Amino acid sequence: MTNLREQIEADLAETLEDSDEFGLPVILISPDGVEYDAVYGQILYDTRAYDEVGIEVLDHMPVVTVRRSSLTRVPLPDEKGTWAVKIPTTPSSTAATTTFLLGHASQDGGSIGFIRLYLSKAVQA
Amino acid sequence: MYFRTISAGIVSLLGAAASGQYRVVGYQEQDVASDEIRNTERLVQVRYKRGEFPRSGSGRGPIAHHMDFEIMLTVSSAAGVDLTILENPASTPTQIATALAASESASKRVNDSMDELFDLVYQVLMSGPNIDLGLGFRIGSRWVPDFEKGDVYNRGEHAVLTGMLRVSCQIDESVPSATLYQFDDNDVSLTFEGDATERAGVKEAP
Repeated sequence: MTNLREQIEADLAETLEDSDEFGLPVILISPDGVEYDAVYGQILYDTRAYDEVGIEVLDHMPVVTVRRSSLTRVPLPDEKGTWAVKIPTTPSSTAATTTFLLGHASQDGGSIGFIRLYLSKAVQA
Repeated sequence: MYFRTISAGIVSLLGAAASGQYRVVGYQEQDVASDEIRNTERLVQVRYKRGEFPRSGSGRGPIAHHMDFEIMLTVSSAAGVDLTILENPASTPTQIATALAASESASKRVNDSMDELFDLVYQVLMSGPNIDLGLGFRIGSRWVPDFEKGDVYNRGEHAVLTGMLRVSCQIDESVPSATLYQFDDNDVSLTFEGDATERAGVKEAP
């Protein structure tokens, strides 16, 4: 029997990265322009939120969850806005990709084994 | 009353000067989704905010109306980056790094956009030829006494910023009545003691 940490890694690989399940291709581009390919993660396209007057709304604000151990380089909390992330436009691995900027990354992935990337829509400047 | 005419005049004046740089509407319930302003990214709403009617000495005649109009400016933007570089497979890492370093946050973009929109709207409202707010009759004391930005908030993919600009002016309102009120005439004739002919103080016809 594997230890608990190895079991968690195996579970994350299955739940986040299995392309037959929820895994979708994610391309991370670091601030130094290096494109890291072949990462799979889970993408939540819409987020439940509350507007400024307290009404519940669904915001189109993708959140990507990837396994930390699959990343060659992990985005740091102070690197927001300087990473780009390409994800499929729709939840399909064959769909065309859209480029977002990294709004911010969760800072608590060190022991959990995964990291959440909160994306910001980008328009042509 | 004239304030409704003036409110419509401000909408027309700003709308005529928009040239695609912003969109003008009358007052809407302030639940404008960022998607709604995504196409133009800038929305201007006009509404009559308050009026003040100083009491006149006689209580008759035209009524002075000091009025304030509230002009709400709303801008929305996503973050900006050179997507032609990021989405071109032939781009080098150096080009991509340069594009990412030059990216602008949505918060900065909406702040800059609001500054520009306020400048545009202020220039229209306070320009010399628009002293009558485009209505063709005299309006007193047209002025923009203040402007204030709100805080940037995120709505979905966009950052949104609102600003409030106040326009004040003055006009005489008339209140036409169906039946004019007739005041009673007071008898103010005076009698003087010892004036047997009762002609004292009466101006003789020449």
